Amino acid sequence: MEYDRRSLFARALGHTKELRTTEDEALALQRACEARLREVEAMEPLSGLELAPLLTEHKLSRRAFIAWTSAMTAALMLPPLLRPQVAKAATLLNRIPVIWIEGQDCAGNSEAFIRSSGPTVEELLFQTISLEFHETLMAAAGIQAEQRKQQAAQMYKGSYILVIEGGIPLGENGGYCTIGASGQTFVDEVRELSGGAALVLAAGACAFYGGIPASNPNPTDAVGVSSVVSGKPLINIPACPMNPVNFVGTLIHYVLTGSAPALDSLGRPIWAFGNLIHNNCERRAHFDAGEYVQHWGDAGAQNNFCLYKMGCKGPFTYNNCSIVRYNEGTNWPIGVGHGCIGCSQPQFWDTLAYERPMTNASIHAPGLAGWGVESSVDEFGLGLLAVVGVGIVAHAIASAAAGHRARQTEPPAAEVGAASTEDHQDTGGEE
Amino acid sequence: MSKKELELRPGTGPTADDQPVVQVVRVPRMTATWRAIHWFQALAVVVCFITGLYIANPYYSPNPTRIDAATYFMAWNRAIHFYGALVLDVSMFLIAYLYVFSTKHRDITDLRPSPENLTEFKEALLNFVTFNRRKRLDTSKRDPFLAVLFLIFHLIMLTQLLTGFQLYVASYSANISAVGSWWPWLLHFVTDWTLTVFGGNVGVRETHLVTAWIIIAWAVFHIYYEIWRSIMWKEGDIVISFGGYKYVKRSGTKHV
Repeated sequence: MEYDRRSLFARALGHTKELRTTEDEALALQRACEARLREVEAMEPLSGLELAPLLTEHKLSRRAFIAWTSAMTAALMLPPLLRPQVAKAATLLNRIPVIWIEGQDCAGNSEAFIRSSGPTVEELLFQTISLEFHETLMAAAGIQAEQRKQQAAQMYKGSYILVIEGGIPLGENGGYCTIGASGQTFVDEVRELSGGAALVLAAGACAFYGGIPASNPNPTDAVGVSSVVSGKPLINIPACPMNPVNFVGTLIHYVLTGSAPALDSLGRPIWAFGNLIHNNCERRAHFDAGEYVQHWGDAGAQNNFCLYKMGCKGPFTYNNCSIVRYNEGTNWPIGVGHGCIGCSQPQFWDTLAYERPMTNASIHAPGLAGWGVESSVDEFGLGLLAVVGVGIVAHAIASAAAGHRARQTEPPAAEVGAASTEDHQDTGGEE
Repeated sequence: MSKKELELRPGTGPTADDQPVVQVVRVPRMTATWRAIHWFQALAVVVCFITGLYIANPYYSPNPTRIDAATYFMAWNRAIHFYGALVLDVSMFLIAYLYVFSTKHRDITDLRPSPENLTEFKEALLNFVTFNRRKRLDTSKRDPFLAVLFLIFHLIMLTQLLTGFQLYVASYSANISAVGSWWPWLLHFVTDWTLTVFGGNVGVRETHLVTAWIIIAWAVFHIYYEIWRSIMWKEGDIVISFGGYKYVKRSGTKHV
């Protein structure tokens, strides 16, 4: 007899929700998405670019596009039934105005889109979206660029998606990062533009938690978008750089549903950040087998063994890079032989990015209000045991000496006498 | 055991012919249940510590030139670590129950800050730190000083269990488990606050690793303290966890 083990206890405890989407649910979802897509389609294309001719121009076949939409549907954890809707949403991305601003960063997230080996579907989509403002990519500069930003923010007020790349320095009243000819601080720019946005996307590790600029000692007092923007739907898409798949997927989800996807406690889309890298890692079997790279280039490294002992933080890091990889699925850090540095986790540079297991790293993780010495966990533990051991020996010697003195000064019977004069309570029936 | 039983000629009370005597009596201290909990915990702590050290930083590996799929060192270490943790979880539930609802002795009564308890706590502490020989507490029962030591241990263990469960549930894929979604939901519900308190999953992991050493340090101290008490009062404290009894000197009278 066949049965679903997962639901046995679930049923007993009243949790009847099936883990698999039923056909009815999928059809209902499909109908809802179609209604939303009709709304978006009725909107005016803003960028003037359509995806279909771009795909033809760059010799990306229909088959390649269908493969991409299938992968995206799977990545978004949608039922396969919705693949046509995902394809449709991709062609309608040109209806959504996007304002992209950059602060304390390396522009790596923009680079991740535009510096692939050939034009990828993501890159072409990036061209079709109505990118109203992007300092790195736009032709305008200086005052003209700023005017364009103001114009776009006014024209699409309440409907544009604000993408923020980079950390936001708060030190010196935000003076560590000023933008444009007027010298507006980045924190002011973020506050101003997020006010009129329909949705705010924090792109990359720096926008997520301040990233590398916020690493210890954080001289500019950099923070992530969530510390500045409030009262707006905010989606964090961390990693260094963020995976274009996760960015485009989030946009497609928005076009499909008109809302933010389900988020985890750190504001990251669960469809992309719901799993530990470790759980789907191609080297996971070596982890379980205890087969580790011990030194760079050793026999283990040549056999693609697990990189845990070289400091891989895949077991601590939520992201989908072990599934979707980077650059059209070409490869990813663990695939090329370096451990994960946990770049989609908060404060990763301080707490995860070292080439040793955590227990062996002499880096004090921030979080105890700066308290603590720089020692590894095992050094701390052995130190603690040493202190206890020394204390025990010292106590034992002192106690023995005190006992010796007591025996010399008091007659042997005194101990018995003392005990016999005590008035103890009954001890019967103890415990 | 009562005072009456101590008297070799009970019922008549002391007379002019009675002589004071000192007698060694056996006092029950740990029931079979408590001893079972004690030794299961001791074993589980050692097992979890050894396997935990491996999980944190694997210190042995198969020969890398011989790929042998049958080893599964890490998988076994993790499995045994989880079995050990399971023993500790269940025993902690039992302890929590016995603290409050034991029919024999409710440990929670030793923790009441009553004047007697406070005095006994102070006296036991002074015994230990000043090496005085005075005995102004009832060493035959579990004194408040011991009760506080064990409370500290149980709180450390609780930290370890909660951080451990948080690390455990972190590895669930999209909150799917073999027994249904209620299980990861429950673990998240009970332990997610540790993320806020200890600083994300890095802080929780670090706390779990540090707490493991604190537990071992506590255990070392515990063994020493029991040995020290055994030598100090000569009442056989160290054998309580084996036989369940300790042996105290009782004064009584003997009719001649």
